[in-house]
Formats: sequence, structure tokens, C-alpha cells
Amino acid sequence: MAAVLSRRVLCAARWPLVTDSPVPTLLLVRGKKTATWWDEHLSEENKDFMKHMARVEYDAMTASKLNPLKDEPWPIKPWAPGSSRVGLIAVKLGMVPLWTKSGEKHAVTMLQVQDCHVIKYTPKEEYNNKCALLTVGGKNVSPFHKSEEVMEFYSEAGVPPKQKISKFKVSDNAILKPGTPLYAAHFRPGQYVDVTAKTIGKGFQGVMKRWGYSGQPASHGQTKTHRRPGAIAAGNPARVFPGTKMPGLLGNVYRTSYALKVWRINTTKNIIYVKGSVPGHTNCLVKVTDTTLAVRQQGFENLPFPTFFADGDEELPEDLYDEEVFQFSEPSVNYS
Amino acid sequence: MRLFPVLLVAHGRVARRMGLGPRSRLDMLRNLLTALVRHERIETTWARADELRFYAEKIIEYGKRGDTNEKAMKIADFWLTEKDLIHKLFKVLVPRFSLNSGSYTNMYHIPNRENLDRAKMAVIEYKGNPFPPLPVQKKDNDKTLINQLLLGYRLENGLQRSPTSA
Amino acid sequence: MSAVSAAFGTNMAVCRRSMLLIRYRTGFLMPARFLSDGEPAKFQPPVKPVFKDELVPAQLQRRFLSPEFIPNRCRKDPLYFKIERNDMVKRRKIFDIPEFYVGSILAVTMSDPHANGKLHRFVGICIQRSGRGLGATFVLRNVIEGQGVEMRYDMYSPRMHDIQVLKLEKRLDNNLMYLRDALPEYSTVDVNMKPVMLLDYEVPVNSIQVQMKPRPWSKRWEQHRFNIKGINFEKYLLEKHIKRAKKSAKPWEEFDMLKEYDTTKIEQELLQELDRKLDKSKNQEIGKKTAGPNV
Repeated sequence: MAAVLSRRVLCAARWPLVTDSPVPTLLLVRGKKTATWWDEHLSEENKDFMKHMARVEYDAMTASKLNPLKDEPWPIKPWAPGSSRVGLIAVKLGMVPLWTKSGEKHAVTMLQVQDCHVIKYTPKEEYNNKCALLTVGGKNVSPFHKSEEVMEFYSEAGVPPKQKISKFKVSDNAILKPGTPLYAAHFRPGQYVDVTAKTIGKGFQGVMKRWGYSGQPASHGQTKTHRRPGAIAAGNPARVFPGTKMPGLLGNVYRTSYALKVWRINTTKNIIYVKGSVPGHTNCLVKVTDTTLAVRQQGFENLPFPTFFADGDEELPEDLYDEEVFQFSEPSVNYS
Repeated sequence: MRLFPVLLVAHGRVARRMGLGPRSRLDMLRNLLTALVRHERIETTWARADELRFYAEKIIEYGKRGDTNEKAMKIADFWLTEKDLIHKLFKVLVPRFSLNSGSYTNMYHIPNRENLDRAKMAVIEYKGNPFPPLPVQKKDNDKTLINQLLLGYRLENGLQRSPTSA
Repeated sequence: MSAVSAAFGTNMAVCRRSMLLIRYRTGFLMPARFLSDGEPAKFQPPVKPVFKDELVPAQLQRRFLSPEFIPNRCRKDPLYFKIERNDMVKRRKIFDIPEFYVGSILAVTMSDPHANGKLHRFVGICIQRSGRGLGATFVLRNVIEGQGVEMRYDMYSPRMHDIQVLKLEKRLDNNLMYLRDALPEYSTVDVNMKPVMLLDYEVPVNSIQVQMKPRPWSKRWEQHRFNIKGINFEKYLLEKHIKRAKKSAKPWEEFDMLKEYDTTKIEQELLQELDRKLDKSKNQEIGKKTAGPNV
């Protein structure tokens, strides 16, 4: 309600300025069609009120855990070999240690699934005639800095606007209705996942950092040649081959870590504990999917299909652990 | 743009780089803070005023520990280069803000410097100073149609939230 | 002393470092080759076998917050710290981690698949506490059969079986890594030491200043960034060393309030939270114990 109201208010607020200007001016503002900011014509109280109401409404939408569209839910189909489920968008919280029952220490990454919703379903006829596409968004953001078109896209699914959206290829039996919330319990301990994210940008770097070259000696008659690449080609071709490793921009590209084991899942806070490190900085949004490596796909038939429904009849404990994981409520490890 | 300190820390940039280095930066801010404590309202470039603001507030916090506190005295001694101002800090400024917690300063954006480099300028002052208040342009759009409509909507639905609107 | 000077005269006169030693050290220190991790020279820790009194009233107990609970000053989500803290509390309910400081003498028992009897006990002086959250560690140091030994322990590792505080005390510094460059007797602890009872309410601060081996040390401990009070540097440094150390000092940093991280409020909140969680668990346990036989 408040979101709809806010859109109307924004339009109304922008209108006077557009009409009052006698000469139409060309404005180069990204994504926006008007030159006003959203609260320019609002009084302070009204501005606070709008912000508050938007938050209240979105929190309620996220907390309801129900499909907000009133019509019939889509039928749930069973798993079949070769079917692929949808993935999630999660926030990287940071890394913690985790111990196994044999007393070994492992580093794991905590990924939190925040406000993750299915936003759009593209049938395969509209995509590539091979597989369907599901658009998923994660982490609610303010509606006031999104353009009208973008807001329409979200309101069709009946979900708040999201910070990140991405598309997942799914098989026909794994399609989900737009508006379906997704949770960390979509994955289960013991399975393997792939995590995709944008790596930390390092800027323009030399070959030693970018490609791991050894550089050259510090002394023994070196003149201004310590971290340089050395030769980049030979005299016979008399040219530099395309793709030669050279200095350049490092990082800030999408990378995937494959087949990371899920050690533990917190179902109340929606946290996935994934073994090892994942690309990206802390608090960045990552894509998590079932692994594509065939050798790590055992047990996929036992996963919740097409996803975990919070309003279903499956009751989960607060923490799901892999069988190897040491739980802190157990007594200390004894070798005997 | 100004990120608040906690955010800056995470990126390893705790403050703006000013002057010839960290030492020089503190020396410059020290002189500015001394001037601020003496005159209670000073005019400087926006960036400097913005950097200064944190220290101007923090020194009052330290002053609230009292002049018997060793650390407070050390800080005051470092930051106030003119030593007669130490008394002013403990005897005038701290009692003035004894009821407030935080937000002891005001900062205003003023027109850019004309004669030198068109730098962005600001005025920074301690609250409750004896000077006449600076004229500040306030939004006066309460009576516009859109705000009145929103107000009506709020009243109708009993959604009046902020205490200032009463 | 005559024997020492004779040794100087005959064997070490050629060596430049020994010349320096003769010139600047006036005889109250042994020369370098006598100061290796060898036999500890008749050092007797003043220890009496007194056992800790368990019946201290609750009001007289110190409030102590283990430093790994305090979150770093960073941009991480507070939820991250909270979840980690829950796990730490869970482990602490099962495994008691006592109050100790850098400089305290501890005995740690941990399970080790390669140890005889699968349990390994090590006694040493705590020279460092580091890490935050579940990854918190501490380092114990001891000199065993003339060989310096250091063990780094994960505090929340499930292999830990027991941490016993043999002697609770603080030192002048929060990091005693310089004991590596000190004479071995300063990091030697009796392996069969009996626990010492703490008589005061406050934890005593041992203001001992250690004697160092001759330079070069593993680090330039005289630099101001280490801020070490447990070494009397005047004995070991030349004027040029002191000058060089002063050059790298940044005395203004202590006045830069932006660099301060005031944790007093956080500590109080954490203490309350921990009290709540740990007490609740105790009550539940008692309830379980009493209810157990009936059910």
C-alpha cells in the first residue's frame, strides 16, 4: 500500500517542476526521467513517514513467508534425474573456524540468505527452447531510488525491490511461482554447491601479482628490472601473441568456486556454512547453486524439490549439521 | 562526501589526507580547534571543518571526565595550543554541554571562496555561543498540496508517527 | 668474574661482536656463548603447594570478559558476531575456559592421537593471546631440557580437555613474545608445578624486567610500536639504537581520537549477555539433573 502510494506521490512531486520549466532541458541523469530527487518537495515529517511506511510494509511482506499472489499455487512435481533446481542469492558474512568430530579444524564461510524471492519466470519457449529461466532477487532495498519501470518489474511479483537479481536455468519440473520466498534450508548439509561472485578489485597490477611471475633478482647488476615480466615474445614470430600475460586490471570480475561442501545450516537466521573461501568481499552478494560437477552430485535426489517451503509441513531444527561436524554442545574429542 | 568513522576504518582510510602527513594534519587541526575554542565560531574550508568537527565534539566528551582526569588533561593539553583555553574548556564549554550528550557543534555550508581558489567553505561553531544565529534557509513546503494530502492521509489512518509533527 | 674476563681475553678477542660486548657491557651480563638455551642457571620459582579456595563469595568475584568476545572495529554484520558468540557460549557450557592473562602460568591438556595415552599436557607461561571469536588462540612457552618450546592452542577446539591456571598474574606487557630473546630462565616453568592460590581480589601485576640475550634480537623490541615495558633497554642499546627507535616513533597517535576504539560500553553489554546465557544454561542443567531420575 505504502509503496504504491509512494510511487504516486513521487509522480505528483515531480510533476510541477516538469511543467513549470518553460524550456525543455535535456537532462543526463542515470535511470531517472526527472531532475528532482524523491524527497525534494516533501516536508521533513512526510519524508520520515514515507521511509518508515516503506520499511514497515517490506518487512511485513518478507516476514509473512507466504506467496503474496492470491491465485492458485503452481503444482509441485517430483525430482527426476537431470533436473536442476533454482539457486539462491546470499550475503557473505565472513569466515569462521569449524571443527570435525575427528578434531580437525576447517575454515568455513558464512553466507546469509536475506529476503530472497523468486521474481520472474521465463518459460523455455521465450528463452532458448531448452530450459526455463527463473529470476531471483536478494536483499531488500529502498524503493525511492528505483525508476518506475524497475518498480513495476518487482510489483508484478509482489515483492520488495532487491539489491541484486540474477537468473538461474532450471528444468521444467523445478519451476517456481514468482513471489515464492527462498530459504537457506533449500540446501542441506553434506551437499556440494557452487558460489559465484565478483572478486575484490585490485586495480592495475603488475605481472607478479596478476599472474604470479617470479620477477627478477633484487641485486646482481639489475637496473630497474625487479618486478618486470621479461620477454613477452620471440624474434621469429616478431609479434606478441594475443592473450599474452601482461600487467592490467586485476579482480572485479565474476568468478566461481566449484563444489564447496555445505557443513552446516542455520534455519532461523538462514545461514549456510560453506567450506573454504568464496569470491568477493565481506557483505557482497553471491550466487549459490547446486554444483555442476557431476562427481559431487550424489544425493541430490534427497534435497527438497523444487525448493524448501516454509509453510510446508517439514519441521526443521534450528541447526542442521553434516554428520562429520563437531557440535559445540558435545563433549570434547577423545582419541582412544 | 563524508563516510562516518566506522565505515572509514573498514577500508583502512581513517581520515582525509591533509597537509604534509599525519603529523602535519593533526597540527593543522590542532590550530583550528584552538581557534574554535577561542572564538566559538570559525570559517574554514568545508573539508577541514568536517574533519575538525569530530575532534571538536570529542574534546568536549573528554572534558566531561573533569579536569582531575589525567587522560582528559593530556588530551586538552595537546589539542589546545594556547594554554589559557584549557580553563575555558573545563570551566565554560563543558558546563554548557553538561546536559547534552553528543552534537555539540553546528556546521553550515557557505558560498565558495572567491578571492583564492573557489574552495568549498563552511562555518563551524559550538552550540550556545554568544553570537547571533546564522540565517539558515529552511524548507517551507508544509502548505503545498502534496504535503497536505499526505498529512491528511496520515491523520485519517492514525499513522502520525514522529513526535515533531504534533 | 675473573674467569669471564679471562675467557674474553683468550677466546673472543678477535670477534667484533665480543669486542663490542667488552666495550659496552660492564661485566654484569654473561657473554653470548654462555647465554644459549642451555642449562637454566639455578632458578627456583618461589612456589608453595597451596590449593585454590573454591568457596569465594559471589560478590568478591572479579568481572572478567575474555578478550575474544570483543568484536573488531569493522564493517561486518553484527549478526555475524552474535552467531559466533552463541557457538562460543555453547562450547563454554561444556568446557570451562578460566580467566587468565598474558603472563599467567597455565597447564593445558589436549587430546592428541600421537601422544602416549592420547592425552598431552603442557605447562608454560602464556606469552600471547590472539585471534577473535571462535578462532581465538593463546601461546604457551616453556624451556624443556634446554630447548625453548612454544605451543599455540585454539581455545575453542574440541581437542582441548582442560585448561588449568597454575598461577594467575599479569605482566607489564600484553605480549611477551620478547621472552624468545630473553634468558631462558625467564620462560622456564616447573612442569610439576602446583597451583598457587590467589590471595588478593585484584590480579597481581608482576613488574619484573627480564634480562635479554645480546642483540640482534628476533625483532627490534626497542621500537615504540611494541611499547614494551618489561625490558630495561638502557642496558642493551647504544645511543644510536635509541635514536633510530625514536625516529620511527609516532607520539601524536595517542592524541588522535579517531584511532581510539572505546570498548567499555560493548564490554558491559557483552558481560550482561553472557551472564544471561550462561546462567540460564546452569539453571536448565540443574533442572535436568533433578528431573532426570524422576523421568
